[in-house]
Amino acid sequence: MTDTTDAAMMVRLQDGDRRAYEELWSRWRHRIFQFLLRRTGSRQHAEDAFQRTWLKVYKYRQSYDPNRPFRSWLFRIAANAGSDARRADGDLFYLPPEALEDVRWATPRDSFEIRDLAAKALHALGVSDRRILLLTIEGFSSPEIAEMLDMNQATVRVRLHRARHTVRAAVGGPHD
Amino acid sequence: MTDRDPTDVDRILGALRGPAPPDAPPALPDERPLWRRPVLALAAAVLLGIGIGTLGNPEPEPLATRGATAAAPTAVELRVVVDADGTAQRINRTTAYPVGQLVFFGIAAEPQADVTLWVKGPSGSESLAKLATGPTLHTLPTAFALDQPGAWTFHLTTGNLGQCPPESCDRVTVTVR
Repeated sequence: MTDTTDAAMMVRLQDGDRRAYEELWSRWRHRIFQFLLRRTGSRQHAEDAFQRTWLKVYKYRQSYDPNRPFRSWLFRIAANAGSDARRADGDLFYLPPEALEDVRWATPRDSFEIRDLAAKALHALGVSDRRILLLTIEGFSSPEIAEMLDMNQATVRVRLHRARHTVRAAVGGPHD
Repeated sequence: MTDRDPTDVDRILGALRGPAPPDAPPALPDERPLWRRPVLALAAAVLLGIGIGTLGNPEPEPLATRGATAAAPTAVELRVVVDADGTAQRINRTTAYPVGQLVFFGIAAEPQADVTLWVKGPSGSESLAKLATGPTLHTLPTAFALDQPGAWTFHLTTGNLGQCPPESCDRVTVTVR
């Protein structure tokens, strides 16, 4: 049976199989692009970072260690590719109302208002705080993020706490 | 304090949805063998035509002979140059060049011999050209893109890929950051 894991695809790519590159791109493009939209705050910047990310995946394919998670390697590239916009696009995102179910708000708001406030607060964070928060949302642990961003774990935890607190305060949700 | 905070902030930010990604992956660089790169070949030919001919001394340099002369070894010479504003400039061995840097080659052998130009780079070794050349510096009508960081050592030898006998081999290392 053919091994179709991401790591196996990377090994095929390292051996010169460009179809493996297209397969990896197809698997991860939506998730990486949404991450980059949130990170950069701009469609134009996200598309630029997206292109850079995938070109770097190809360029540095030989540096990937198949014994380590591809996901961490890929997001590390995406977290550092391209630049962030100076100002976030106001209508870049849609926030499904069901995402707000069971959330208790200190101040009642509708989903459009929360979307705007959350996106604005996210973009107002420092670059590192924003990347830490977004990588956490992608499911990475603090030790993983510390390695990805070359920080120590304590710094990651402090920045994550600060970032959550800032965004929570901006959207009017319950505080810690 | 925990990493996960699924009650509000993480859930809201994770639910933000933007437009769809581009439909096609970015075009990958052309990594076909050197002899299949006609555009680069033309550019290199123009560059080398104006460049390598003006390098160094106006008089042809005698080729250095390596090893024992009793065996009459073939002396080979390899020059690796970059385009510096339209002028060919020899590789500076203390300089780190950027990823994507194009390099061009001048080769010579005395007496005339079949030589192999090969490179050992970050991803392994690759043969770039195999041809006959003589004492007059011959400019190869092609270029090579240094597409990864690390050390790239180019070899010109009368041997084959992977070989660099000291009596008939010249090498130049280029560092890419």
